[in-house]
Amino acid sequence: MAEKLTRILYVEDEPDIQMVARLALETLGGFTLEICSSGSEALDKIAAFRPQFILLDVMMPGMDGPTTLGKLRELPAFADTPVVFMTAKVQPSEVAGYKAIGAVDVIPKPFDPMALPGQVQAIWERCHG
Amino acid sequence: MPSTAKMRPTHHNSVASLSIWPTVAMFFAFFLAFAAYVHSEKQIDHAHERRLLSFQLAGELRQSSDDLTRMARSYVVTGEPRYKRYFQDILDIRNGVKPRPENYADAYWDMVLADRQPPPENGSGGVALLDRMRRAGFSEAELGMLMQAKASSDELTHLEFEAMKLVESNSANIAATRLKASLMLRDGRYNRAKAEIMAGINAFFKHVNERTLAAVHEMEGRASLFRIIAILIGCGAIFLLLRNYRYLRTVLGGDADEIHGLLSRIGRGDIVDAAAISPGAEGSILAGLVEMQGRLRALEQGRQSAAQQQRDDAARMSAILDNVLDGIITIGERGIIESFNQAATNIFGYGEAEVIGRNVKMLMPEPYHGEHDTYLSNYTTTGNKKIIGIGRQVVGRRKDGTTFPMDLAVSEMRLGDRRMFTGIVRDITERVKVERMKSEFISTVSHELRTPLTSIRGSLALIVGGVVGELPAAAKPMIEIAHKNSERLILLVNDILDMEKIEEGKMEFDMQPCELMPLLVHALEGNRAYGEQFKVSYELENSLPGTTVKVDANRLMQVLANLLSNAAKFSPPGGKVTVAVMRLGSRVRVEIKDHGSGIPDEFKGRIFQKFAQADASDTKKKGGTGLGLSITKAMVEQMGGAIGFESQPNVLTTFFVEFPMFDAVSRQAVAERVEAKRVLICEDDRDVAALLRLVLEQAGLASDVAYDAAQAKQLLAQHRYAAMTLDLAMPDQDGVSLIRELRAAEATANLPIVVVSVSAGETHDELSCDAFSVVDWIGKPIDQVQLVAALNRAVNATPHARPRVLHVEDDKDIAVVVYSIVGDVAEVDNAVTLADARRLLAEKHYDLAILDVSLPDGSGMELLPQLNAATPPVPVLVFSAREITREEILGVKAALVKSRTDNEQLLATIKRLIGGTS
Repeated sequence: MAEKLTRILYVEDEPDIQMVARLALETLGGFTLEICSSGSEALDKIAAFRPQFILLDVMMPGMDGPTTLGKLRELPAFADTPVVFMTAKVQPSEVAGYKAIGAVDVIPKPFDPMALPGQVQAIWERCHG
Repeated sequence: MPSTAKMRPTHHNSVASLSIWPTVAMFFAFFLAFAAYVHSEKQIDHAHERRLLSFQLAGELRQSSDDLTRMARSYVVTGEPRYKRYFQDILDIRNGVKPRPENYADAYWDMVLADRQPPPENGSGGVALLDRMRRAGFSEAELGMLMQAKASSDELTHLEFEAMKLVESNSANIAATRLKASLMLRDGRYNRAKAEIMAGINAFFKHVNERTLAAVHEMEGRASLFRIIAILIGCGAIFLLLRNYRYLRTVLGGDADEIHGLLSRIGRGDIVDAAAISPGAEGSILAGLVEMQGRLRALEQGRQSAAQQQRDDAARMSAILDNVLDGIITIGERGIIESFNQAATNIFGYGEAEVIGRNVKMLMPEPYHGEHDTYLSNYTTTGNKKIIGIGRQVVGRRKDGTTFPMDLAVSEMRLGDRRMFTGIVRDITERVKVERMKSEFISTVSHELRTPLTSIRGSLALIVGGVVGELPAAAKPMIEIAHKNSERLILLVNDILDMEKIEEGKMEFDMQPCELMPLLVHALEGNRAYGEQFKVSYELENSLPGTTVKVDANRLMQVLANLLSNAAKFSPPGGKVTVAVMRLGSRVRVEIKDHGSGIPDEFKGRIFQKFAQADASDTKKKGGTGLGLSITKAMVEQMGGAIGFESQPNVLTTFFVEFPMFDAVSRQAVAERVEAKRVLICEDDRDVAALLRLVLEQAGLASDVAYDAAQAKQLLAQHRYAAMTLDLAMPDQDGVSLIRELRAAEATANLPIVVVSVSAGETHDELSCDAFSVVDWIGKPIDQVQLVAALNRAVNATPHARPRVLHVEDDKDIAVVVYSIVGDVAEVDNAVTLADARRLLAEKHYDLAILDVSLPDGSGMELLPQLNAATPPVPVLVFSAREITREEILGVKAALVKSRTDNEQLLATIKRLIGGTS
């Protein structure tokens, strides 16, 4: 294992879900979480936060998840940071589409907040295992 | 009626022939009798003639005697020499010295004496009276009498000569001399002599008279007899003729004119007015004709009413066709439109007259427009169906050029020997729009539902999980209720989405070979918590390690979760749900058994329907959407499996799912004898056998060698082999029949067979060979059971839910038959030529190739290199004539050797079949 996962960037427009995720990942999982409400906010904050792992919602006002991913990948520092989509849009063709643009995995909504830290940790280990 | 009609003709013939011949014979006899009668009449005449002639001759004799007397007397008295000359003439004529003048009998000399007739001339050719008499056929007695009369006459002549001589003597007293001579011709001697003649003639007359009269009478008697006979026979003949006539009339039933009249009326087609039959004429020809006329009339009426019926039907059909909402279009074999109903006009905007006779592709946009002719000719030549009998959604083009989605169902029909296609077209623009809206709606709604559900369920789960701290005791159950119901809501949304995907055919399956047992264990583990809600435990009854199925593991987990949760839901608290696995031939079955309330009989038929729940009042108690089993069934079937159940309420309810085992044969072999994968080498050439053995040993495979078919069969009976290599040309039995024999036996029905043709290379360490795995070698005609069994063997080894089969066959009938047998379970592509097959093989990978040995451009065997070069190599099922000759086998073998491959490929083929990483 190369590196312990601590800093996670989560981009999600829905405040309620932000709350649930914060509880699950910070309180339960013990990660350091930075939550952004839009893709542009994420692009603004990313350099300062230097996340090791990025969770992206797909459907967001303004800039959607895939577009945000594309912009992130343009930043040399985060070209290889693992990105996982958290979305309700999980038709097999959609999942294949996310993976095709560089997502390492997809966590379907509704997610189980109790299981979420474990899921994230498992994906992290897979990427760096 | 029909029976008498049948019997009548023979009856007629016999009677007619019986009554005609006696009549003919009678007429013949009549003619004979009549001829005899005429003949006897003629004989009467003849007798009369003879009688007349006799009298004439006798009369002439007497006349000549009288004439001589007269001449002599005249000469004596007158002394005129002409009398004497006439005297001599008479004698000469009578004696035949002079010819007889004409009319000699009729007072000839009276006429001469009166100079009214010239005296006879000299000449020859006379016939003596006596000769004429002889010729006249007088009897001897009569001739005797005449001779005597003649003799007397000659004596008289002698006297007369004397008297004439006396006159000529120059006596002085001429007067006295004449007197004396005159007296000589009148004296008693003369008179006596004269009387002698007359007496003879008289006697002759009398005799001839009697005789000829008797002859005449006899002839008359005979004539009378024949006349009577003729009359009698004639009467008989007339009687018979009458009888025949009456009989004929009875048979005909009328006279010839009537028959002729009726026949010519029927001939003219006049069958409307029935002719009357006189009483008693039943069964006659006339009656038959009248009956025939009646039947013709009935037939004609039937035909007319059928034609009317047909017109009515056609009118009704056309009314129906014009009133249905679906467009109905019929086309011929070449795609030419033959009919186009009103609805089709409404749909496409073309009038009937604008499309009839034109190609149906005018109703299609590109690319269908350009390809339709090819589809059609493909179908008619190869039987490849794009749409016929299937029906699907296509795009149509209206007259104004706009396109629209439509449902098209095409069925094929035959009218006589013509092939026609009927297309039923429905404009589904609205439906497609509605479906898209529904789909979008469901997708949106479910997404929109999931977003708040994520928050609700997430919050509740965190609270229940104690992440935010301890709850007051009274609040905890409430929060748990809320959490549980949020979970249910998520399940419901998921079910609705699944159902939607299944209905749209959009549910995707990632089919992979999976070990079954770990999946089961995992499913039981995953549902344990759910069961605990109902105080129900799950238990696995047995285990079948090594059983592999080809499924989408996630979907199978979903299926098992559905069945396990159902079983728990309906079990009594404290109950147990048990799971058993078993092999059923080439399939594996998983049973989930509970002892709960079971399935009521009236619900059994609906159990797999959407939103089906046995008891609405149970709904609250048991929960669930009613979609679970419907989704489960759809998923099981999509993965090539089957689902079913048996239920005895409160005793035992069993739900089961079945899947084909993946590579069942090899797994079974592995399970039974993992350590010894033996291969049987069936090869008569010892060098080649040794080489094969070496190659296999180097690959870690043990082998036995059979040098002939008998030995092979013996070894197969004694040991279990993982596979067998086979040389097609064995000394004691040809390889093809051996394959068939092995396939027919239960123990070797699934034995992997690799046909190997090897020729030992020069260095003896390299094989020059070709090998192909033979699923089966099937004879024509096709045995359906055998074909399906062969296909199943191939299916076991295929990584796809629907195996892809390449059928190389130029006979389109066989192609159609094979398609109809396996088309339901496999994707079949038909290649008509080797070139086709090569093209298809280059495009796609197949799980099985069915090869015809003889094709227009070569042998199907020539494809073997390409089939073997594929990864993995494509197994082959060979179709050939039931009886295959040794020459053909050698030909196949030669084709194999020609297509040489290397050791690696041979091993790859064998290894794949024995399913291992050996």
